[in-house]
Amino acid sequence: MTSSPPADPVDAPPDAEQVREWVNAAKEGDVEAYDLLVRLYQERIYATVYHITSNHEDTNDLVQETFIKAYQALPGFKGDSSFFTWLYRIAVNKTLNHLKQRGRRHFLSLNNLDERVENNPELVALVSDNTPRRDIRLSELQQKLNEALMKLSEPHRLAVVLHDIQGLPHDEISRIMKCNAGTVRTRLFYARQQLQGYLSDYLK
Amino acid sequence: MNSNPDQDPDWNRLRGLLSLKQHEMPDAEYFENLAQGIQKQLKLEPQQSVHWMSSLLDWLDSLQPRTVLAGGAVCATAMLLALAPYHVDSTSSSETLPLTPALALEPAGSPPSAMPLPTYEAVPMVETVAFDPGLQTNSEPVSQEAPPGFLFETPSLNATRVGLEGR
Repeated sequence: MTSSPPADPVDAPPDAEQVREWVNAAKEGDVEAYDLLVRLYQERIYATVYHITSNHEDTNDLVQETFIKAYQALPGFKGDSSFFTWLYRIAVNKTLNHLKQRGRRHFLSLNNLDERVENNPELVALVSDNTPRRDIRLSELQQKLNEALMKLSEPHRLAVVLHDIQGLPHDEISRIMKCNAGTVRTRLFYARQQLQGYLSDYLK
Repeated sequence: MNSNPDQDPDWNRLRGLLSLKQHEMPDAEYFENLAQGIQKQLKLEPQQSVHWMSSLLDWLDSLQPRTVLAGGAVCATAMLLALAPYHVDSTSSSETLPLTPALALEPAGSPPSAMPLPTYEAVPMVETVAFDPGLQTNSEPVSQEAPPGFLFETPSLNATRVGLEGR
């Protein structure tokens, strides 16, 4: 890699110019530069795939395949969209193809909730005395939430995952899903309606 | 559709529930191992090993299904249009086949290369008469007596006997 020693992407998020340098170096076969891109985006890619599949083992395989496929296809990346969008699109297409091949044979393999959950006031409120199902534990709530998400169709689930969980804006999602922003809003609306129906016992 | 979902209390409760998903991430050690595993695989599979077929499949994979269907339909139409001048009418082709001369040249015992078509003499068409609604039915009364040699008349056994004796 020809550029100056890069900063650790976890400690200091790089700017767009820095990412472009890493992408250009990786296009020429610089594995070290590509490693920096992997470390920069792996958590977001993992989260997206995991929230769509609700299965850790499948996600582990799909994330690795995504980064390897992206590296091999990198010489063909022309920069029409950002590297982030391009990478997301590969991950989403791979995940959707995986779900199609798997069909209805799916089972949940959820990660344990981290300890920060106790510090989240919204989640604490959900299991407080004010809720009608105060006996429910957070892990059970997690199970019900994932089951409800898996009941959504794939485009609806993807819209919820990318917007409501990942926090991506509508226009970014429309580029990833290759549809217009209005379609994204419509899918979000119907997906939320369905989720509220599935989880009505836990939202009152 | 509510244009501002943030004002919807149901949505706010759902958003709180969805935030639970953000706490399902693995720890930092997992991601360290993931990055190292990817780097190991990348060193085994260099960038130049991409086959052109893989690139083509990737490109097709990136297209919308409607685009692929439309492209397929255009290709099929173009192929049909290109093959249309070579289409041979089966009813007219049989007249040009050399049937009998080819059979005459073939040695005995060899399978015929083309079967001769049977020929039929021209038969004049029977003249058809249109039904004339003005025609009257025969008003003569039908005779009750059966005509001779019809139906219930016993057959002549003499003819049979004579025939057997002649053998």
